[in-house]
Amino acid sequence: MSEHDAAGTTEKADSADPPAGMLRRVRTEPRVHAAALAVAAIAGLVLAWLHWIGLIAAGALVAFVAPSVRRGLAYGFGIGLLVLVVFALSLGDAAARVPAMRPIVYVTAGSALVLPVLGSLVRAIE
Amino acid sequence: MTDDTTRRRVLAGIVAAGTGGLALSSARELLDSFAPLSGDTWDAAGRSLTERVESPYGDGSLHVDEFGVPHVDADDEQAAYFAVGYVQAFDRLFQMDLQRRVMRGQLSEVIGEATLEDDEFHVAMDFAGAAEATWDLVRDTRAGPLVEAYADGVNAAIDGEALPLEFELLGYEPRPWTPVDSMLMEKQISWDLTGDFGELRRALLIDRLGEDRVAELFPRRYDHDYPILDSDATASSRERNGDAARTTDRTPIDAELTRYLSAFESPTGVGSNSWVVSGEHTANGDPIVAYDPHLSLMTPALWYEQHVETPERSVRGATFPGVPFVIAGANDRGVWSFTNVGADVLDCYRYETDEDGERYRYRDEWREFATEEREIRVDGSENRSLTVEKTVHGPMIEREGRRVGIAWTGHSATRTTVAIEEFGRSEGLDDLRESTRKFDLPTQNLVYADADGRTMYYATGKLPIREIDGEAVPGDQIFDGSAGEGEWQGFEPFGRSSWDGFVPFEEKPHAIDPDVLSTANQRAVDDPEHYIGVRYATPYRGMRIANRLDEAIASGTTDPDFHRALQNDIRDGRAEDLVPELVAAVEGSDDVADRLATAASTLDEWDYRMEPDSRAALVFARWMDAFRRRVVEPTFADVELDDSYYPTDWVLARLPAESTLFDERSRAGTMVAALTDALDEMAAEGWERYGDWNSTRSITHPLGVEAGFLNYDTRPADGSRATLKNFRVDSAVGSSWRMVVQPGGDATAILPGGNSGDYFSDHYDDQFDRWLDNDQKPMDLTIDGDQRVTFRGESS
Repeated sequence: MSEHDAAGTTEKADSADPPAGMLRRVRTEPRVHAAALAVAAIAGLVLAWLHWIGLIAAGALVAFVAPSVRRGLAYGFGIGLLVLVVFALSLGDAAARVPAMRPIVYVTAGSALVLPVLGSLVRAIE
Repeated sequence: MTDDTTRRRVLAGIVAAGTGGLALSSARELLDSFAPLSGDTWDAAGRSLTERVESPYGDGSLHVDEFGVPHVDADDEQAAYFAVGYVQAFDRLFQMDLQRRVMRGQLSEVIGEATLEDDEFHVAMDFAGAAEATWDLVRDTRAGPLVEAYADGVNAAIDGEALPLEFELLGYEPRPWTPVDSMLMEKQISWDLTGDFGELRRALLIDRLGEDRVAELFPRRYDHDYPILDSDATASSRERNGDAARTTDRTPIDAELTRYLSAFESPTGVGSNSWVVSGEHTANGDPIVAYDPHLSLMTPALWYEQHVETPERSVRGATFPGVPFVIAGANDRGVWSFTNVGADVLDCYRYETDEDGERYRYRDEWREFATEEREIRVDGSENRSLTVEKTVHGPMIEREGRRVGIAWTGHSATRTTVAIEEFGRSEGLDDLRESTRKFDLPTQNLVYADADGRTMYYATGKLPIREIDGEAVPGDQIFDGSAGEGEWQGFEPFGRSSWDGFVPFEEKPHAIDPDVLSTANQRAVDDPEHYIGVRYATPYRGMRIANRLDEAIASGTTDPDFHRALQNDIRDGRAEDLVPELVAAVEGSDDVADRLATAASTLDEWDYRMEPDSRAALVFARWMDAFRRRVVEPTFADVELDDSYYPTDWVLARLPAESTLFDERSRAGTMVAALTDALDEMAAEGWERYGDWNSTRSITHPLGVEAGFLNYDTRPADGSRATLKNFRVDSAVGSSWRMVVQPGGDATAILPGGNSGDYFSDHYDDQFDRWLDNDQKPMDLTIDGDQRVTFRGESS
């Protein structure tokens, strides 16, 4: 079985046991997929707001609905970027001061971009 | 399939190990603090004042203007000072907490072993005990309930508002604020201005260099004719100036103990400018007071501006965070300012002790030291215990078996808080002068003008009188405490003093209704009726102010713009003294290198203004330090005296060519050699203009090493340690607040930074560039800005 990812490349479905039923629809049907991805992203944001382990969980959640491992990794990176955007918005005017907060900001940005990708690796485990 | 399984296991291992590793390692703490969204640090971002706050003292309002200055308005004074405490804590809580930790010797509890020596000193000095004695006195005055309301306001903010960033970075929460903490702030300010172990250093210098050399290099009186007061301004006599009698034992205490104690003295260069001109010399007929205190420049700014309106007072100005009342500022009737007198209000004593070191002889009896065990908590290490020892005179400081007893006027209960509370609601000169009687500490040059056109100068603070065998003696010597030499009558350390044996208020330097008067930390009078001190500033600033005021007045009247421009004066009197001689020395040298000739030519064309873009200013500034080093170091290094003991620029400029410091060298030759040093240094460092070296880089935050973003941005700066616009890049001391006020009229001020200590606030550094330019903002007595907080009384 094969499918096309967003970039138009062909990749092998990566699960030895193809997802069945709802999960398969979530990963393959565009509208269901979009809805599921949105739910996963929101849930991930909530978890990330509660604890930094939530960043890993957020990556895992969005990757879980991804049609492929590679897409899952991309989703993990994407949720990290989304976390940074929401983080900046949550700070309001104070956000303008954050980029200068070196070296603290390296931990902030690094954790936002790396931890969700780490979590997204679970997509390759199933 | 096997490969797949392996791959899954490896990936699962990576995810588990990654997550577990982060959770169990030190990375967890970093992520707990700084992860986006969940990090504790971000609780401190975007703080805003709670719109409605319950107050146990009644209704009030808080407006905050475009510069972050709080305007408090309330019908009840306690309600107003509850609000003041609330907003000060919101803006400056970390600074307040850090300062009380310094004075209580509790820094190591949050910083670790690095500050242990600092804590040991402050615990041994028992500043906290002095603050408690002071609060026992103040609590029963009119100021007492206001200080209590202030402390309650601080604690309401601690409980009700997010903590500032620094608490998150250090990972601790502040303890509740107490009125004693506010008294500690008074002690800290006073210590920073009067804490001086000059007698210990002088004894060491005499021991190492000899009496004649010390007299040449460290004169007890600079040779100039610019005292604050003209000789006839006070009814002075020389009856008790006490220059003759000295203690018999001149041996120094101990070099290491002296070094240790010197580290806790006032920062080098602490001083200030202030002046007043009467309405006779102003365009609109009202007097003008100009003021800029030269204290530590730091992030956030040392001072905090506030405005309080109640039926009893309408007052605005600068205070230190932790102090409820405006210290230097203006009300609707007058304006007041303070510069340091340089008075000697600290004495050192040696004692005869028994073999066990547990008792000391005092006059005809042996007494045990009053001792108390204190524990110093240390973050990340074992706590330390320290035995606090005291004699009849005050605390005893011990270092590796060496001891010295200390008496400091601040160790007694003092009424300065009472005085500044009264200043805020004073009705004019007579009123303020009466309040000044209670200004026990620090010793300051109070310059005042009121809306009726009256002016005043008064030296504040208690001035001790020392006697040996019934004869008045100066205090810049180590006294024999066992013999009761020089001790202060009416002084009770850690208790209430009667001050009976101190200089009477009427006999302190003062001038009522002076026409024109300026202070720049030079001696107050040439021939004081009583010994005041010897730690006066070099007269460069005093001379410059006096001369420029004389010129301006001779040619007409002045207005506030003139006085703001005068505060901005950057002409360096040292350059006037030395540059012509330096240029002549280079021109008179044989085979001088081209770069030296070029530098001399640049200096020759210079106007002596210490401007950031000036190359001549850079050459001069670096040459000055090199010359100082060249002249002094050989002699001082031989007797193990470091640069903290070097004589001043004023002395250096007047050091005769035949001085023994030059040894076999000529003064001119040393000048030229120093110019070579300066040019070498400039080339090595890549400095082209004065601002390359003279920048604001040293104005740092206490956590600025670890978190450099907390420091203000670095900017080229003008001014030097000798100019009116004062800036000392080496010690980060300079104009810490500038104001120019006509009582009841035009009032402007500026802070070096901003009014908020919150890194995320727009007012963290919004005055910094304006401060560099001395572009002052209005300091009117009008409620300005948006209302941010409504304080609701319990009955509302």
